Amino acid sequence: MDKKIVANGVSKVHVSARRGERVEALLDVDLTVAAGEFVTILGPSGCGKSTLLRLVAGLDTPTDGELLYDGKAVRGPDFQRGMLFQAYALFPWMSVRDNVEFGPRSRRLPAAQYRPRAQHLLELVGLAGFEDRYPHELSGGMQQRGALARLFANDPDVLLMDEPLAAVDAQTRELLQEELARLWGEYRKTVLFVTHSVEEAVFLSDRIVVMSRRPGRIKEIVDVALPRIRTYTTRESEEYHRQCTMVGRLIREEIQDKGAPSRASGEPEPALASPSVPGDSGRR
Amino acid sequence: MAEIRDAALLLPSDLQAGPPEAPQASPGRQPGRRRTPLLEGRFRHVIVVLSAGLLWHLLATLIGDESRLPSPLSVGSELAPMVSSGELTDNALASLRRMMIGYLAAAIVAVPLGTAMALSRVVRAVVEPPLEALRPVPPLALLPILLVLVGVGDMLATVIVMKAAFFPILLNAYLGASEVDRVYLEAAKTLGVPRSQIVRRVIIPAAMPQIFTGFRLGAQFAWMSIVAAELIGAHSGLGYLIVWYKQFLLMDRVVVVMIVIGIIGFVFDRLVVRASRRVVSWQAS
Repeated sequence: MDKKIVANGVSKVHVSARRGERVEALLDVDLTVAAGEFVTILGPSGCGKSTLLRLVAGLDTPTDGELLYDGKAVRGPDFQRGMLFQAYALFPWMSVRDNVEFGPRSRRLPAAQYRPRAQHLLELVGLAGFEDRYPHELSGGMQQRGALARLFANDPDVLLMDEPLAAVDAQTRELLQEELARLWGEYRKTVLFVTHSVEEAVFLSDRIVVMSRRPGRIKEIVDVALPRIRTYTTRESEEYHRQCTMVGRLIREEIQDKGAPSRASGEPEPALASPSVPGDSGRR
Repeated sequence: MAEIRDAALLLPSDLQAGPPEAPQASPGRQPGRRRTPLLEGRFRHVIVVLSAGLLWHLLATLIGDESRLPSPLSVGSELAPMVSSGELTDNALASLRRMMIGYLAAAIVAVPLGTAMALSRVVRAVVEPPLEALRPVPPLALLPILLVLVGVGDMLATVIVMKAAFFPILLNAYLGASEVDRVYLEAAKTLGVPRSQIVRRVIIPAAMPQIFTGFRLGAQFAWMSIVAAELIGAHSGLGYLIVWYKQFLLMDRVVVVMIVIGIIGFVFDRLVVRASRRVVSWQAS
């Protein structure tokens, strides 16, 4: 088995800038993700799941332990570890097409190589006809489709998804999950996915990493025994419901056992309900 | 840098916020009804200007001394001869030319410098102390030394304009470039975008609305200071014209020049706003 991502005893302590408080976000996490695997990190909010993703992305550095990508220590962000954000993060000053082509173009790949791929992806996520729109002209769901196309257009090796569907409405969310499953089926990338939705985790993943409350550690790793090609009919199967119940129970234990979380020690998890629009202080 | 920030925030809030919003219908009114109060209608500017003119006329009649407060009618009748003799247009053009040179020079230096300050701690450390020392100096306080250095004329007025426009543009470029939402920077980094491209295609576009706020404030300060500089340090220009007419107690002509100064300043501001709307058309309204 080809090991894509390896975490060996990874810990992360956040020190808040204002008061110098130390918050243990992750404690001694060991995890191996194989090439082509879809692994979801599931846990209550404040369990450090986003932190783990940011470490793999290279946007943050572990306080302790080692983090390997393709056998080499992660040092800073790289296009091979692409990321999808909860806040979509499409660049508001670029059209949808420019957003999707931005990665490969700025890496100076030949246009003949990325143009057709970008167009194909735009069609695949249902944004054909919206290529020249600006992000603010699209709904949240469409923006996240655009961000998904942008991620795939850049052809990364590993996809890191940080609660990408948390801000879209419930119906769109299920549709996007199915689209994601379809895209994954077509490209077979290694995926590390973060969510707090049990159904989402079961529907999408090969394995689910259930995290415990702060300090975040791995509570259990669950193999999802569902046929690999997932469609909307997957949701109707008995096995799917059985898995959801089982994983749901694990999560509930986690929430109930340890009492109410202390709200003061907030992990810097993007808690945005909707994408922020920076620069809005300018003109309207 | 905290002081600089605060200073920028102290600027008039309506100028920071960009163009004024369209007047909103008062909440109590029925949406279906078309009647709008006089001061919210399409001709509200005309109404305001006409009433101000009327008030002025009444005041002038009350004082009854054209050499102290000329009436709007006599001011209006001075306009045509001033234009036909070329006095007004020539001097307005002289002022505009100095303003444009100083303003553009300020923008060309201030935008890259402000951005560089936001991007590099080293640049900030080197550039900040001298700039902080120069910033609170009013443009006109440079007059005496400039009179000695470059003498009366174009150069002096241009330098003063530059000083006036420079800081609002610099500070807003700095603010805009240093407050880019982290998620855009991280999105670009995880796409593997090289640093130079992140600056050019992420940070600068993200800062654009704020940069235009700087352009707008800078234009306003520049125009105000050019007129003031010409009161003393020039042999042409609208400011000079005011002093000239005042010497002959031609108060009606002084008022004509004042009005022209106001109109040019207003038009220039509108032009900057329009340019800004075009450049940041991607912004959600």
